[in-house]
Amino acid sequence: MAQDLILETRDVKKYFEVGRDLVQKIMGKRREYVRAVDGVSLDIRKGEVFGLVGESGSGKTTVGKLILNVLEPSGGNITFEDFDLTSMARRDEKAFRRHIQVIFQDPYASLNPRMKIGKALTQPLEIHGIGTREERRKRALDILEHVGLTPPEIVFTKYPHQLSGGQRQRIVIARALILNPDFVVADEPIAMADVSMQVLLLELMMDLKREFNLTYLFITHDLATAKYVCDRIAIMYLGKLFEVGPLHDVFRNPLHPYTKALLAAVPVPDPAARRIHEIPKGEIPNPINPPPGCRFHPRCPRKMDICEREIPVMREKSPGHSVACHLYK
Amino acid sequence: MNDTKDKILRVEDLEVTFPLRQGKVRALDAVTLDVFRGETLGVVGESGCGKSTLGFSILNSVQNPGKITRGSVFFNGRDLVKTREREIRKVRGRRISMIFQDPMTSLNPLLRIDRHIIQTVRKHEKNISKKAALERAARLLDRIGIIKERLYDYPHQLSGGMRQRVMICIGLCLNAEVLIADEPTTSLDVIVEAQFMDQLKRLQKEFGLTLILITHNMGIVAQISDRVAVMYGGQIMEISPAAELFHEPLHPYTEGLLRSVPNIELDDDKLQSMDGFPPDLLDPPPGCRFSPRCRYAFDRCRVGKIPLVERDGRFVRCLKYENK
Repeated sequence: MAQDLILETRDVKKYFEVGRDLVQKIMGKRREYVRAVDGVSLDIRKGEVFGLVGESGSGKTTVGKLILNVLEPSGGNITFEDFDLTSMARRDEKAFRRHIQVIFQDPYASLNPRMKIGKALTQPLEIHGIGTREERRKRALDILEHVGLTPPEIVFTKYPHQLSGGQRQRIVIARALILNPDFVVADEPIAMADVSMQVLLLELMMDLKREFNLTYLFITHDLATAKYVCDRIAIMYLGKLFEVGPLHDVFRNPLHPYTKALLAAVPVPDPAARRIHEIPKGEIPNPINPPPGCRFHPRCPRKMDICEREIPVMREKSPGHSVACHLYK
Repeated sequence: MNDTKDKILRVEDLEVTFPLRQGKVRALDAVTLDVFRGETLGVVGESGCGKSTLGFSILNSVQNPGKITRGSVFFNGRDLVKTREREIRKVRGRRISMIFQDPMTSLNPLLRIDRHIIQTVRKHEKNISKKAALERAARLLDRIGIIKERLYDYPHQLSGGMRQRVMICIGLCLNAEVLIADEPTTSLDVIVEAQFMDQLKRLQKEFGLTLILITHNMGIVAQISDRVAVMYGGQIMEISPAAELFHEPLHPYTEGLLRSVPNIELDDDKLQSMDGFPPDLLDPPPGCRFSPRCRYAFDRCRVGKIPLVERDGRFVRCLKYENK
């Protein structure tokens, strides 16, 4: 893996088998798969905020889980720092978990309601055998200060239900950082917060990134937020990567028709705004039987014959900016 | 504001109270607003501001244990708050229809779509035949862009966007005059959301619907609203025409809200967070509910009741605009 990279995925796949009931099995119904992630190759550089954008069914959350080693890939491989996820020994897994952490969307589901905040924060340290009880408590109080939850000694003794949603999400962030990871997977970290809280959480995440030298994989469907925090951005659709590039390049010069559609669809908080590009018709197709060739072809305003037959390959069009689309050959 | 415009709804001094074990929560406090026939009124605010409660109150369907404890909701001249349940049923769902964030909670998973429509239409129009009801539905579904074969599907066989459109169809089948949409696109993907909003706008023009759009999404509000009401802590803080609200907000909370929302068209967007937290409705701050967080607050903001005043056809609850 190149020096400046912290994570690399090579053609990673994740297929989920679709359940068959007994009758179907007896009748010999063929196995079907949801190809949630179907050959995704990404490079993430140390210190960047890498945005992974897509609508539902795009596979973005599954990519996050594969990177976290919560799911095993069906194919391809993932290299994180010195860890090769596909061939990692059990004993290395624990060490791996110190370097990579996660922030999920729902702060109500992410915190054990029966565990006091102090315990929720010191437990990871305990599991990894870090410090004495006193040292762990001190570290927890310290991280609470860092995420703006003061006075930390009081918050330490509370239960999650005694805190607001925004405060809870700060705890989730604190917990993710307490082991001093290098990499954080943030899956829709602000989606459940109120509008005014969202800015605060974003500011917090970016401040912490600078302070702790973090790299973020920022998974979201919200392009407007992605634009605000990401350095580079990748667009996914039905398990496939459509476009990757530096943030401003992709936004100013979107190459893939789907990227253009996404950008056009984002509602702008300005009544004077006028949409430039067309919204495609139809909805995201069934992931069990995705369209052949380019998965977007049934909805694509620029569709050509080849799009129905051949899956386009990712090609670099300008420095760092790649697209998988037959329009660009 | 043009007084000759036809007022279809008038909410006057509405108060809704929820008696909780810990005390009384005034979810709506002195809410007054007019809705004009054919317009789209956006009602925005963050969680707990009372916007959903307002939607339910208009239909006199505030969830237990909440109650309307003061005020009126005039619909075509009649006060729905003082109307008997039996009479309200003729209005609810028929003249005033409501759609919610998650259509799955409004649709019976065991009923096919055609049965939903027949049931609902026949409840309000007792003499219509099944055939006529279905024909009306099929025509409307076509207008909404759903093929009529879908009538024979179950709700789970439709996508989220389609389910929402079916909900609108049910309202239109009954020739609703007002549609209250409470976070209709929150559960939809961004492209489907855009399709849905386009369709909603089109349908509204075609059917002359009055639309009350309740949401926290400032983007879709900007897209479709004629006027916007901003709510905070159970109160109306500002009512302005959309363009003026977005370009020259009057209320400091509106200003703060707009500065928190990323605008994808701006290259150099600088978001600004607001200090503090939304008010505790069990024990709201004295005076202006927003004063603890307001950068312009002065002493008189923290005492007494702040009235909603008019300013060039716009309304704002803020002492900055006090008529001297």
